[in-house]
Amino acid sequence: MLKDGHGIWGKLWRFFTSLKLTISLLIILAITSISGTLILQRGDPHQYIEAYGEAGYKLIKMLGLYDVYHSWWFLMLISILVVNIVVCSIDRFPRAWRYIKAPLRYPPLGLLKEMRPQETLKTKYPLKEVTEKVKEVLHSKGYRVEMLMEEGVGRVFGQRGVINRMGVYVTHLSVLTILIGGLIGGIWGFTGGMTIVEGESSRNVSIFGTHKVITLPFDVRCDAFRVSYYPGTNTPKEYRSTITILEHGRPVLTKDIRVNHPLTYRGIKFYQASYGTISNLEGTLTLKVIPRSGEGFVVHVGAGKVSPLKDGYTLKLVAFYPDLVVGEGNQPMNRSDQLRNPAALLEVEKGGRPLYRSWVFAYFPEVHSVEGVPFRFRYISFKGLQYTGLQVSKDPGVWIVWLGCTLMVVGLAFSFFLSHRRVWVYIEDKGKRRHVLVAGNTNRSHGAFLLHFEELIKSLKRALAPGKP
Amino acid sequence: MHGAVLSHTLDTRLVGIAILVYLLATILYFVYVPFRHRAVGITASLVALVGWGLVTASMIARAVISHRLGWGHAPFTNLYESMVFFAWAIVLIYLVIEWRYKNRTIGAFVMPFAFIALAYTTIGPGIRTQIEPLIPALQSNWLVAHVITCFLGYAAFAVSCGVSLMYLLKAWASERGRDIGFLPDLRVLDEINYKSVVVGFPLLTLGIITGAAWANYAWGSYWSWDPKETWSLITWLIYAAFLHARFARGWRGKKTAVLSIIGFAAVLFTYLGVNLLIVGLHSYA
Ligand code: HEM
Repeated sequence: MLKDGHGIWGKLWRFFTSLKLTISLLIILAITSISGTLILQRGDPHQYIEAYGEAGYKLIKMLGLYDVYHSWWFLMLISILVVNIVVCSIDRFPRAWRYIKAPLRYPPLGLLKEMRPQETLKTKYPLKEVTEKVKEVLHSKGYRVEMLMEEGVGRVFGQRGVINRMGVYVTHLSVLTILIGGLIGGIWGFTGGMTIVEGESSRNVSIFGTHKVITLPFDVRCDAFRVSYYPGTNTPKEYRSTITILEHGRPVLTKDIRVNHPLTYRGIKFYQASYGTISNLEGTLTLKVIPRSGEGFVVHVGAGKVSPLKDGYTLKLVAFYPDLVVGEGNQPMNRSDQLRNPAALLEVEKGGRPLYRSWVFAYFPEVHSVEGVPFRFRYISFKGLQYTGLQVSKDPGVWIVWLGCTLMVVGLAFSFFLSHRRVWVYIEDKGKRRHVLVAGNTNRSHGAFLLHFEELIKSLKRALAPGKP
Repeated sequence: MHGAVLSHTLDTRLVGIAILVYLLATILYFVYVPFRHRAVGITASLVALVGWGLVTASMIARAVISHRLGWGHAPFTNLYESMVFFAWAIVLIYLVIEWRYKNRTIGAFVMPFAFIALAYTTIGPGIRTQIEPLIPALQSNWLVAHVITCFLGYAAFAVSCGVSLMYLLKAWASERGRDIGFLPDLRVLDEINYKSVVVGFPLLTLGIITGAAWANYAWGSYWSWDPKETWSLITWLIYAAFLHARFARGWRGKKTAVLSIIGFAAVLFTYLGVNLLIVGLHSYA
């Protein structure tokens, strides 16, 4: 066997079967992983130079600290861990498999007598009957039971939870499975984004972190995008894009995508990621008009367009800001394309001549830039041309990762919440009486097993008590 | 018109009372440990149970209020709610251990964690106690499963940290020829330490898996090495090292106690440190 070898292979084998190596690797991985949470990952060179100087940047570049989890040394640590798991399992699995394949059913009496816990009972029932009764009791306690009758001796062997012996192998296999799934995703998968204006379609995905663009083999059209809010609030409740997939220009599938509810088509997933309003080009602002005298009324006005008010006055929408902030030099500007702080600059005209300008803020209705004017305005809504931002990803390894996760949970349950319990019973004819030697063994939770064994002995005593029908 | 919120609801008032009850239970356990007065011990357990009942009621009330408002969500969606659940889970796991091992002294080392966690909900930086509607990314059953499994795991690790501190204290005294008789046997402490990790590790594993599933549904990627994810993996690696050291290399006592304490420090950093010191995807909780 390799493990007994004295040469280089024997040494290597022992190095990789060593659990000291495992513990060291786990600790080293834990410690080195910290670096990636402290140093900016996948940043631009100038960001590192600013923070750490030229020399610092050189060091970061050399050690791959700008992308720790894909650096050569991190991948090497994981590779060593993989070899460690594989070699260790090959080394130990055959011994564990023997518990399943060839259990120690009927050990020699000498060995049996050394086992703890142990108990001897006496009974008057005939040998065959005692053996049957013991078998029944063990069976009722959840043991898989086998029996053997010999000359003047009956033997019973029961075991439960033998699958516990496989737990660590399933767990270790699960680690490998997850890593393989991750590797496959890393090689053949991609993650990117696409933005589609309502009513238009696209097949280009910009890959994150690169300047690459992938062309999909089909078109994705955004039919509509809607945000809905919790009643009486401006907390968004739902973002919903209605998406149609077109193959060779023909629609094949229409589905709504929401956050947490992606669309999968031909192995590619589309997630609701962002949205925006194209405000300068199109869109209609709806306002409530409050004249100095008379009833209020509602008016719609398009971007850059003019709408009639009354008494010959007209209203012009000079500018609309979906998310207004005050920028440098007190200039109004947009923080985003989303309706987070809508504001409009209006101009009231009469006979084609501008009279005055007024701001309207959706969330600050009482703020007016001009007082004592013929009309005041309240924001009601803005319906603009919207676009949806989809995250697009393909990960052919993801189901392998989920398989690995399932294996891991199963493996951990086998290892931690089951124990391999074995009970051997040796029943001997001693003249008028039968001596019943009961011995047990477990591979974990010894305290609990001792209590269980006591219970078992009590049940056996009851079953073997005289006068029982 | 800003985000609708509801503050000073029934549930936060219940938590306010529970903080005092947890404090009282902590004090009673502290009194019980040196004097071993049986009545004090029983009172401590009962007070802890009452506090736990109050926290349970608070979580139910919060879920009901949010459902009435039509925002319907389980109370596991922000820092405040997770912290309340944490304080709930620690006491649950502790009371089970107290009952299984018939030993109340552990309470003096575990109850303080529960009290601090609950008190932190009123003084911690950036904790919002208001009931709010959920933004779309948080509307996921995976998130609920994620929070429940993670925090049950964290609670088990809090217990293992508590008994490890007891272990080190007792071992330190006995090396100086003194016996702290009122602390449980070193062997018992060592066993509870291991048992809590055995409960905590699969729960943390499930927590990481459900978190990955949620991320996959919400953002299209099950793992993106953001600081919170990475720190949960670091925690997981430390406890994996613990299990191998203990089970397969036969480490016992002091060494595993120290590993447990380091592991729990990693838990706390994953939970709070990352939010306070590093920004990432998880910035909501
Ligand atoms: C991230 C990687 C790993 C994980 C999650 C893991 C997980 C586990 C778990 C949960 C146990 C059961 C411990 C217990 O019952 O208390 C275990 C046991 C064990 N592991 Fe690992 N392990 C990993 C890596 C390794 C490696 C690389 C080796 C290689 C030598 C290894 C060798 C063992 C051995 C020998 C046992 C004890 C089995 C026994 O005696 O029944 N593990 N592991």
